[in-house]
Amino acid sequence: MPRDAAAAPLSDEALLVLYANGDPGAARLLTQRLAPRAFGHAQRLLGDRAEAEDVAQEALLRLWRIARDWRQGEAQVTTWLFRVVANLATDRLRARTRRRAAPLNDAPEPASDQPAVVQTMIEADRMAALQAALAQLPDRQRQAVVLRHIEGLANPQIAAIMEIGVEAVESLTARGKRALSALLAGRREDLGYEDAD
Amino acid sequence: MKTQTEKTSEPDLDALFAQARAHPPATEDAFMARVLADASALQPRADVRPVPRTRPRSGLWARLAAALGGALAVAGVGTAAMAGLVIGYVQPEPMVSLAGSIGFGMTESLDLLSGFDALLTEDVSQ
Repeated sequence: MPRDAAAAPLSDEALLVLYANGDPGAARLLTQRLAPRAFGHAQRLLGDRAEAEDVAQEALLRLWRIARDWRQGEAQVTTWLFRVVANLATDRLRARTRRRAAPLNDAPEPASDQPAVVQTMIEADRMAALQAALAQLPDRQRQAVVLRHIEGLANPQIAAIMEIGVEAVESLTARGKRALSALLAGRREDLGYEDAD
Repeated sequence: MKTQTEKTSEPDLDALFAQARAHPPATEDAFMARVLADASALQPRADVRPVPRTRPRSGLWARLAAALGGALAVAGVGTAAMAGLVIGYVQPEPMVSLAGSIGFGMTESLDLLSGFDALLTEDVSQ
């Protein structure tokens, strides 16, 4: 009977051991679990789908290659993966010379008066605005904010991923949030928040 | 101390984060297929070597029969041996008379090296 990712209670580390032992089901389960997370994190850091796919695929490629030598108990697979994704994304960001994130004002306007479509467009606007604001943060602040507030990781794990102390993580996330607030200030009405107050 | 801007925008920020968590970027099937293909291609192979197919060890009689040329040859040898025994013990009369008629009577002794004794005698005399 094929194993289901949702029903499998095995940890990522256990699955990686199975993968290294040649279990074909482990390859599929790990892909289903890790590829969306790697891609999502890369997408938040880079803001570009094609580049995010490349980065996520490369990060996972490295994981497959070291699977046989993985040392259990030293680090979580996701911690290692987020670190590699962030490093690869940082390399790409540094390589960008002329490409810049779209300004906040470039977020698309709602094109329909139908309530459902309008709501969808508003949500898309909000996500586009958030992504554009994230893109304007310094790399380390962006990484810390994404890991803390979007990936939902705890500060100690973020510290392990970023290879810094917990206090430094707290500082980065606090400064990042303040910067995001400043960047998004004045767009409350544009983003459909006027009715909520 | 928070500024007025922070006070008004932070709840919105938390809502944006919650929305981002609830709607992670969707992966495309082609991307997932590429990753899975990588995983499969780079996966270490299970160290399960196929058990060599060994032929069942044949018994002593089977190996002896094979050495003699197979079951048919063994049957032929066995038949000849049995016929020899029967002829030796029974000494059928037709066989004795047949041997006598063609000049092979009963032999009392047979000297295969007739000059060997003289050769030994000559050596001693010297």
